[in-house]
Order: sequence, then structure tokens, then C-alpha cells
Amino acid sequence: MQTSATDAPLSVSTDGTAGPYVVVTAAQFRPVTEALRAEGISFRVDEDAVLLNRMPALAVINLGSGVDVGQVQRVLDRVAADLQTTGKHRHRSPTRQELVVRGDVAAIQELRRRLEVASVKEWTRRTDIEARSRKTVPQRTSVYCFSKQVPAIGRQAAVLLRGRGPGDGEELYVSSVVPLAGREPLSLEQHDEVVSDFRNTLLKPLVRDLSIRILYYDVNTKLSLEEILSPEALARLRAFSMVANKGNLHSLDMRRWAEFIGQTHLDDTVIGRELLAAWLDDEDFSQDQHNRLIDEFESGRQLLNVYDEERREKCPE
Amino acid sequence: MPRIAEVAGWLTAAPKPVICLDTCDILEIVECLDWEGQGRATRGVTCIEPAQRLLDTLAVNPDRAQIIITDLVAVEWNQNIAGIRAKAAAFLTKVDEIFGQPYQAAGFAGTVLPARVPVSGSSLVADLEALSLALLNQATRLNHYTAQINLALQRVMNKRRPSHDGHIKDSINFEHYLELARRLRAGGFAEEIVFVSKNKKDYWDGNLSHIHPDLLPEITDAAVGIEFFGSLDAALGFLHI
Repeated sequence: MQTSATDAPLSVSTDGTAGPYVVVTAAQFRPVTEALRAEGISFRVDEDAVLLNRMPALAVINLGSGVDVGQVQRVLDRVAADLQTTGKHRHRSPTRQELVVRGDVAAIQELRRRLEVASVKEWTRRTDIEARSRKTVPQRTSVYCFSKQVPAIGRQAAVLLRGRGPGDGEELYVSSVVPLAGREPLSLEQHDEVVSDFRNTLLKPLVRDLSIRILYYDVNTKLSLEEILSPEALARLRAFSMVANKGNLHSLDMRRWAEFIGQTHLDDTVIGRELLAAWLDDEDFSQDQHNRLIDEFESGRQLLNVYDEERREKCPE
Repeated sequence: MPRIAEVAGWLTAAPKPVICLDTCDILEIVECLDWEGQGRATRGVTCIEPAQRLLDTLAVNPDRAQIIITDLVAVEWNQNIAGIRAKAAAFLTKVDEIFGQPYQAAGFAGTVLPARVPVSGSSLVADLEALSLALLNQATRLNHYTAQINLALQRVMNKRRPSHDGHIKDSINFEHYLELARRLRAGGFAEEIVFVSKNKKDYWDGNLSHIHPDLLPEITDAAVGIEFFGSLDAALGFLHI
């Protein structure tokens, strides 16, 4: 699961006492730093801020405390617009908000001391859940859990906050948001509402006078088709889509589609129907052709599987 | 370790969805740190998040689902974990070696690359093993029944899936899960019962993550009512977890 590379929101954050900053993905890093330099805005890159868990690359750009936040935001808006225009076409994928709390060891230790309370505003500390959760994580990992009836979603939700990093002292992150009762899961929007409530009503008041940053960002919840396919299969899929008659597929199109099916079979790649459907949808195939292609894909893979089984049985090597 | 009848009794008295796991689903959490095969791509790590999600959900709400394994699953986990741990560690060492090459080249070319800490020195493998063990420990282990082992043996002798290639272990698990489901359904259990296995060779319909047509009638029998999934993520999606 990765951050949306070029389309992640770009904004100046001002929480905590460590000064304004901008969180950027790897794809945004260069255009943002170049644009800031071009505007004469001084900044420093936090080299330790590359987060690893579920985040391949994320950097924090620190701005001086006297920076003109409005000017920086205008630069960021311009970079974001440029990236959207020039960026590669990216297939849609649902996102979910993740939250990481970073700071120096002393500040994080102080925050952890403040979290050792029975309640913070409407949030109730859930030591019962913490005890169960501790059994599932490495011994050194700290676990905090708070629950609340979250007005925006009209349900009680529990937020699990865990420590990570060397000595478990440098970073806390929201590992899960789980409804306390009922079987209906939280939608992605509801998940984000709870994270936002947790950030605003529990964390922000606690870190106000600490040199701590609350980083929040959207991550894709599912791998995209491009991330699942081998380079060969992806090349065949793109070759097919680039020249396909999307409203009324030609026999040559079906031939190219069969080549894609064959490659995924050779790669032994498992592709869910929904993922393929979403990709075809994004590529503007008509509904009829879209269904035809998926049916063809599934029956093609099935036929190849039967062939493999028969061959293994009747023509052993 | 409880017997099937006891577990069926508990679940009938306090119903909740049942998740039956195969050994490979639990080992996969560590095993994902490896190559797919000689000269092939790295394995996906998509199995880690669903395992953590399930454990977190059960920490918050223990009545949300019940994980079930057979005793054999636990035995197999213990038999295999050392080898898998060693392979994962070797994989990280190899990754460091691969990364070392461009750094060597950069040294000659005068290129400055950002500092990089070797991953082989991290606690990643140990942490993944802890997660895998937590999932194993979260499960209720079924004691083996002689009747189910005999049924498994018949599958081997008749070359029936999942023992069509002569291995009995998968059939032992499968027969125990079928029996648990039969007993639950006979007691009026109306919750979902899911069986998860990433074992393509024995359970899947080739590369398609639904169950092989040979096994489909057995799990869809109204007296059994098991749903099959090729990944924990898909099963949790079905259960809305």
C-alpha cells in the first residue's frame, strides 16, 4: 500500500511547536523543493522522516518559524496543479487516512506519560483492550487504546495507538480503528472521521506545548492492478488498451487480450474480478465490452488451468 | 486442547463467525520476505495487514469472530518456522547486498547517495514471526479425531483432493473443518464459517482463488455451509472485518 504518489494533497501543517512543515511523497519531493527554492523560501529536509511502515517513502520539509505560510501554500497549490496536469494517468484506488506522531525522544516520552490517563475529554482509555492487544505485539511495543462515541459517525469506535522505532520511543501511530459494537464495518469515510476526531480532540490538545508533529496522510487501501502485474503482463495490458476499439472490440483486440491472459497465467498472478473491472472502467471500455473481457479472462484462465492439470497427469516430465 | 464437540458446543451457545485457517496462511506472514522463485520477483506482503487487522479487531471485540485451527496446523507451524525465519533473514541480507552494489558504484562515480541503514540488522523478521505466532495463539486448536484422520486416509488412497497427490496433512485439516461445520449446522448455527487457504495446488481452481470444483460440493452442502477464500484479506472482506 502506497501513498498516492503525485496526487497526495500538499498543504502546510502548523501543529505542535516545531514550526510549520510540509509532508511530501517521493514523487512530490523534487518538484516541491525546486518550487520552494525558486521562490526563495528557505527550508530544511528532515532526513529521519522517511516512514517505513506501510509507507515506502515520505519526507518532511521543515519551514522556518518566520515563513509566510500563505505564500508557501500558494506554491504548493501551483505544484499540485502542475503535477496533476503532467502526471501519469493513475487508476483510481480508495484511500484511507493514516496518522503518525513524531518527535524527539523526550517529547514522545512526555506525550506517552500524558496518554497514561483514564480519559481525555470524551475519549476513554481502554486498558482492557490494551491488555488483549499487547498479547499480539512484540513485548517492547507500547499500546494505547481510547474509545469514544464519535458524533460524526454516530457510533462508538476504538482507536489503537502503538509505538514503533528504535527503543519504541520515537514514533506513535494509529494501527487500527475498530467499531466497538456491531458487525457493520466502518466505511473509509467513517474511518477518516474517527482519525480526524482523534487527532483534533485527543492528540492536538496533548501535544500543544511539545516539539511533536502529527503527520496524517492518505494511503491507498488496495494494491493497484499495475502493482500486482509483472512488467511483461503490464506491458501487454497497456498495449491492448492503447489500440483497442473500446466500444466494439475487434478480433485483433481479442488476440491482444488473450496474450495478456496468457502472460498472467505464466506469471501465476491472481487477479480479482473487481480489480480488473475497475481498471477497465477507468480505461473507458463500454459496459458490454468490459463484461466480455472479464468473462473472457476468467474462462481463459480456467481453460489454461485445466490444460495444465491434464498435461501434468498425462504427460509427466 | 478442546475436541470438535466442545468447540461446537461453545460456538452454538455463543455464536460468532468462524475462520478456519491453513498453516500456510499463518506462516505466510514471515514467508513473504522471500523471492517467488529463482530469478523471480519478490513475494507480495499483502498478507501482513489483514492478519494485524484481524488481531486488532479481536482485541477490541473478541466476539467478532473465532479463529480455528487443527492441532496439526500448530505442529506444522512449529516444524517450519525455523527454516522460514532463516530464509527471511537471508532475503534481507541479499537485499542489503543488492543495495550495496549501487553504493559501490556511487563511490567510484563520485555520486552522493542518501545514507541507508541495512535492513538485515532490523527486527523485521522477529516482529513478523511475533505477528504470525500471535495469530496462531489467537486460534482455538482442535484436537484430532480418529474418524477424521481415517477419512483423510481414504482421500489419500482414493487420490481425492486435497490429497490427490498423496499427502495426508491437508485432508486432516479439511476433514476436521468439515466435521466442525457439520456439527455447528446441525445445532442450528447460522453464522458464517469460512475456510482460508493460499494453497493453490490442493484447494484452488488453478490460479483462480475459488475452491476447486472437486471440493465445491463438499463445502456448499447445506449441512456444512463453508465459504472458501484464497486469502485472509478476502475472507475478512466477506465478514466485513
